Amino acid sequence: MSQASAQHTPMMVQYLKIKREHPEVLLFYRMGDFYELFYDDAKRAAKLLDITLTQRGQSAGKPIPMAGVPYHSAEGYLARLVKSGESVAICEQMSDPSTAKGPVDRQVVRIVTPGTLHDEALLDARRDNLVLAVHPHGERWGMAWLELSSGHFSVLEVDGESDLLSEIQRLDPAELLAAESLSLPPALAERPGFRRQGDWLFDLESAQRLLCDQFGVADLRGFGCAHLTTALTAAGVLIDYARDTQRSRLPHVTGIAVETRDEAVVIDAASRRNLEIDINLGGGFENTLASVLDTTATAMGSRQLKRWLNRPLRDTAQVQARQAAVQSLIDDDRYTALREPLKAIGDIERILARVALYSARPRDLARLRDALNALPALERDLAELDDGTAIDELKRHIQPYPELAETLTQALVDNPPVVIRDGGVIAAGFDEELDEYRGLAEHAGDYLVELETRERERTGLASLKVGYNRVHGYFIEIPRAQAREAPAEYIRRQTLKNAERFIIPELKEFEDKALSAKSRSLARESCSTTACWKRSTSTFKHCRARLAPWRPSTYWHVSPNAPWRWISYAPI
Amino acid sequence: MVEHVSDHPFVPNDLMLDETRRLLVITGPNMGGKSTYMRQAALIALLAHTGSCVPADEAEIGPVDRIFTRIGSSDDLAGGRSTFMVEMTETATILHNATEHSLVLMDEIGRGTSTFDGLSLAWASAEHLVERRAFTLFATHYFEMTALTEPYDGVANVHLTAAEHQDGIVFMHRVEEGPASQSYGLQVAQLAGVPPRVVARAREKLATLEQQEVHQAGTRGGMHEGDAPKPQQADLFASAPHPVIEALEKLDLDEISPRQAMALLYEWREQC
Repeated sequence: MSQASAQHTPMMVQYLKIKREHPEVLLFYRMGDFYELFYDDAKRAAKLLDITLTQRGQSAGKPIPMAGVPYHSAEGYLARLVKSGESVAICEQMSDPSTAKGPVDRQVVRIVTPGTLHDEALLDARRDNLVLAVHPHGERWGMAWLELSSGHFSVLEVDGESDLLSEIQRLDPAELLAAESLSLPPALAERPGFRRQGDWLFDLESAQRLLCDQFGVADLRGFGCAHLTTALTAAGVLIDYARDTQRSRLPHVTGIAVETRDEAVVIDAASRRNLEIDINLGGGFENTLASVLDTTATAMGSRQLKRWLNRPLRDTAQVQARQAAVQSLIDDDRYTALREPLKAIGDIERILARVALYSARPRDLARLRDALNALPALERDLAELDDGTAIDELKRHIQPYPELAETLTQALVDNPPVVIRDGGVIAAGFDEELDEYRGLAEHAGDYLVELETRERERTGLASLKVGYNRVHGYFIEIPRAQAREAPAEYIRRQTLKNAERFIIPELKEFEDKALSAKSRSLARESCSTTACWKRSTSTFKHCRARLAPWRPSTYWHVSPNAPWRWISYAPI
Repeated sequence: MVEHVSDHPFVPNDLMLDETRRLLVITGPNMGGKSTYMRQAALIALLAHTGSCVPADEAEIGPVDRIFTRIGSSDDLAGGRSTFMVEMTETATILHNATEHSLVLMDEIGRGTSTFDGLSLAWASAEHLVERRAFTLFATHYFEMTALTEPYDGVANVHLTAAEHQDGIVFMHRVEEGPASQSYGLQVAQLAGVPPRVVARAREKLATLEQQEVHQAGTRGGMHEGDAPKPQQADLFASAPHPVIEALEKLDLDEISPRQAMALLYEWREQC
């Protein structure tokens, strides 16, 4: 092997080194405008994506199979790979290729896996996307699941395999983690997105340490789950996996919720299938209970509705509280007035998660701005409902964020582009330096004409010209015959057959600014956008705590086409 | 959900289960709406427990701790289990776990096996559920099951209605008290496009079977004893020999030990 790798090209040596760290997943290796795949990865991807399998020269005496996708359209390909249960490591160029010696430094910046998605383009807006880990202790099974796109993290312990199956069917995770040596029923082991993790990772002590570190606490008692050691072991593996794939400390995962099986009406796996709650017998989403009922205003509401339908509660008090709230909204059709402000709020849950993970797109920030601007209206409309139900409680958790809303409103153009790459995200008037750069880039021509006129007047040389070439940059050109008349501060730059070219400090300064204005304006813009992100993030923790109780309330829907009166029922 | 996809008007029905009425035996023609009736009960209970409104004029529900359904049948080909095996596995889960706060839906238990086996299993499962005091909706095409009201207090019969119309059939989808009188299996077969020749032949066969039923009616007792209205359609197994006789015929007397013979005698007496 060492001899073989000695014969590999330096780039392939680098590739193989990175690939060795990610043997199980496809490696998207960035080369200029493409993500390339090599060897077996290339063959697999070519088959899955129906892209051309080609060859890239030779390394170690053998041709290298290669397949690639353009980086600007990589998202679509990623979506297809992830849908078929594959994970993809994204390896980016970390330094500027024009200045690097040898192969450009490259690093895996993120591993896209089916259960840890948060990109809007890869997710189904109206369904949860979970990664779940299981760990057994005798007959008892510990489960932990994470919804990375919102930061919700939960644990549950159940007894026996059939209870485990029923809960997994309820949660329907996109990815399932279990220990290497664990024998699992085929119904689980054959799920798409099933992944084995090393046995040594399932260790209670390191799990506790990891979780305490994640939540910034000394112990886990505050979350009421310290006794659930089996589930916590699974939770530790899960958080480790999520951190590793995201290359992030997951700042939005700030706590862990404990579910117990007794709280909910138990529905076994077969019954769940038969009842077609949100998935029909054919595996589709049509003609299910959820699809019939779902008239929710936001995607958040739709996801909550499915969560609720999949987990009916046994606690009469809780059920009645929900019912009273729903009833009060149905009375006089009061819910209709709330639909518009709720729609304006959109999917703030997932947007905030992307903000926290630094994967928010300019449009996410724009939608965050719109959501924050819509909050006062929602607050006003809710204030009119004064009914003593759970809604009153929720009202107290609504709070506008005028400062952040103001900042975002000033900072962003109305409809920012999808990506920040080409600029055009930050509005004019927000950042002086940025405006200056942009001004330079746009008004370079005007300045040069002005300079030319000025210098002609000053020197009295009517044939003086201001020009530019790629080698020498900006210059002032004077015909040879008149060159002697050039002022003393003119510095000679180039001598041609018929003319002399000069530079002056003012023009030099302009040259420095102008040449880099475009790239500086982009850099500055990305800086300003990051500043917006940061401000959003700092407000975020606070905001998230306030958002948490709101999670249920987006479930404000009433079926308008029901032929009967939809009535509340009286629990015995 | 039916209403959502169907053009025909949906027929609303009442359902009443309480202390004295814990298990309903639902009979009626195929396609008559038995499954829909049961599903709607489960979905309404589920909706109620999520805190939603429910589609009904009036409802009093709960508390429910578990919802079980044994509906439909699908081969688990990947898992290598037959339809009947899947059915029995699901039934086992229900029988083990149902409590007096559970809502249990059983649809056509035992149809995946021979008539005798199926009926016996259905009967025993129903008995078990009555003893566990689970709220149960038990749909079946075994008319013998309607006799379950006799030994048990908490059991009642309801049926889905249908009317014959010039050899065709009109489903009313309405739930009424008492057992069904006919199964309309042949009419449904006709509706489904089974060739007319086959349906006609089935009618002939039905007539012969009913003839035999009349002959044997005086001599046979068993499960449909009692004053439950006798179904007009004969149960197929009425013409089949008693399982003990069948077993006796197959038995090689020279091959068994006296001890085994004695054990068999005891077993058969259980079955009589």
